[in-house]
Amino acid sequence: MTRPWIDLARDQLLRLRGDGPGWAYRRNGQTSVEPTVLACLALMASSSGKGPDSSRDECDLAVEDGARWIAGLQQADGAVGLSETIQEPHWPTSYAVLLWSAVEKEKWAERMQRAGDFILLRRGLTSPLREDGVAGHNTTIPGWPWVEETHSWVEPTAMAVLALQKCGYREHGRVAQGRDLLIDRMISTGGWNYGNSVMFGATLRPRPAPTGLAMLALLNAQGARLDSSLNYLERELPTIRSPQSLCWGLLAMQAWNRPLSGAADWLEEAYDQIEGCSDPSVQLSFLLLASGDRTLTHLGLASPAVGVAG
Amino acid sequence: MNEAGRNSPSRIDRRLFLKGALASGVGMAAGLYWHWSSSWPQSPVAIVKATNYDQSLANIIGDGLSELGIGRELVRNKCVLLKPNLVEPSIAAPHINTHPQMVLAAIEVFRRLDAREVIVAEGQGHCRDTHLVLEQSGFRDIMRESNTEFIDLNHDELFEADNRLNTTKMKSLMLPETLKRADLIVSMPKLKTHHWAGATLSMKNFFRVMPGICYGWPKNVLHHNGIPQSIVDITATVQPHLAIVDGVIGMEGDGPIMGDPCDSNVIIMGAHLPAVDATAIRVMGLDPHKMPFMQLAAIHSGVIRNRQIQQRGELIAEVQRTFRLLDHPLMSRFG
Repeated sequence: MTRPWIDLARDQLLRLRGDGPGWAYRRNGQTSVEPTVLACLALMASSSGKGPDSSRDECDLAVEDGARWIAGLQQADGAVGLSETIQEPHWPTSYAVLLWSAVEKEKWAERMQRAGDFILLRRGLTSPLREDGVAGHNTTIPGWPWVEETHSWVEPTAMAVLALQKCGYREHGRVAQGRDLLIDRMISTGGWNYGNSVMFGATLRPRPAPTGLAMLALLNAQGARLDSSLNYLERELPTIRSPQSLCWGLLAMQAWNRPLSGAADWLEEAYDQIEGCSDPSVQLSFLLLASGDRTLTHLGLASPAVGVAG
Repeated sequence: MNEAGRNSPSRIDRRLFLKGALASGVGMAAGLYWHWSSSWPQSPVAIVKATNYDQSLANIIGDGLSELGIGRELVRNKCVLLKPNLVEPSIAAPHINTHPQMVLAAIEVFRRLDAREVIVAEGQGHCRDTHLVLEQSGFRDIMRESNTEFIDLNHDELFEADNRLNTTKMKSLMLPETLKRADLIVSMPKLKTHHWAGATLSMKNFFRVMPGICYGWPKNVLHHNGIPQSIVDITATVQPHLAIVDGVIGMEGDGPIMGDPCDSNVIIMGAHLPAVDATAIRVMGLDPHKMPFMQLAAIHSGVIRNRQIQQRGELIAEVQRTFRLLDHPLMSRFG
């Protein structure tokens, strides 16, 4: 996609870094891991290779700085926290892996290895299956939590699966467990939310962003029956203009070989709507990731999907 | 941890002053959770009728605040933070959330009372995408139309505060910096049943000030520490000043998200949140003494007994409408 807003968004994103090593959640906020990873991946994914050398150099330097800054935060056990001052929880470790693997895999191999080992050992709390109909999902499958010693949820599990795949653990048992958890948490009518499919007998509502993330993590999962989820995204995405939901939803549709024809227009409309928002770097990053030609490659998902049953 | 940020003296002085001012204005003693005395003066709670969201809600809310003795003297030049409930918006189920017209009305009221600024803030617990939440809840439009800033508490700057009550094992709480900016924190929940807590009202509303980047989506840390305990710990630490409960259309059945709309037609307001919640539960036809979070609040000097709550405006008996609980054995403890 080569619309003018994309170049504008890249410039804005670079300006938002200011003099710091990375990006923050809020305007003038503290540099934090997740927004830095998103911004770096967005700049890389949306780079057309064209434009003045100075612009490309500035992007390359920003990405390198971001990767190095995050490396400096890595803890002895391989974990990465939220920021320089907030060292837990550790769910951003998966994000760190995705950036290091996309920038220069060999250079950051040791960091990735330690982070991957940390992610492998981490697991969400499980509990015996209940017979009282409260939770509709299998509470015995260990995925990944947001916070240590709590239950497993969709987004941290999906990101952990993506990260471990980038570390070379595609066939590892923990990755299989992560995929099993995601399949189990899918809502019967299609899609995912934060990770409860049924509560007290009521089927809950899906949301586009966790649906997209789960679909990306399940790419190439053998025998995955995900048509209902693809159909959900196909219905839902045209009605929303939120960058985060559009990003993960559209990337999932692209990865599963069902790109949506209106995507370019929706992303441009979303860009027009975020002017003046308090979290511009994150929103710009999502839009650039969604429009980028190399996003799926950086996430380790360049292959066409297999395993979609009808 | 930034020592200067934690309980900064200037903020404590402002807030203690405000508590004192409220106490003298509404006949309620300060020190919500720290002292218990059966001889305390009554805590006033105002109930006002509102049958739909097309009414002049600003006038109705303004009248309610007047009943409580809350006026320009207490609000002038203050930063007012309105905290609605946007747990999981759905275009198909608007009764899940605080109605945007309620918040718009509150913005108008506090601006009329010469607040220095009015901001709206939320850290929704299920749907991480805040822009989607604003889009689907109708809040994006009203924020723009009213030129009001919305703060995403889930991704805010952070500070660490000592847990003031310690009924959970959480010795400290990570809180959003925006709380330090506010002089008046106003809880604006929806009037709803809740399949774990019994009811979700002005105190449980503060689950969603806890930043998701620290506590997750959902904020599972709080569930693992005990929902009733987390409710009172967080409320005691945040120390909100006022509650305005949107009960125009509430939710009964499988709250907090899968229940049915319920025409409860009330707005309930007060400065002592346990009293507000106890009143709201009675309006719902339920017994606050059967809800663990209310029991815990009472243990820690929260006023929940009917005889100690001074009802202003409408009488409970005249507006009471029995809310149906979820049909599940676990709900029998609340009924």
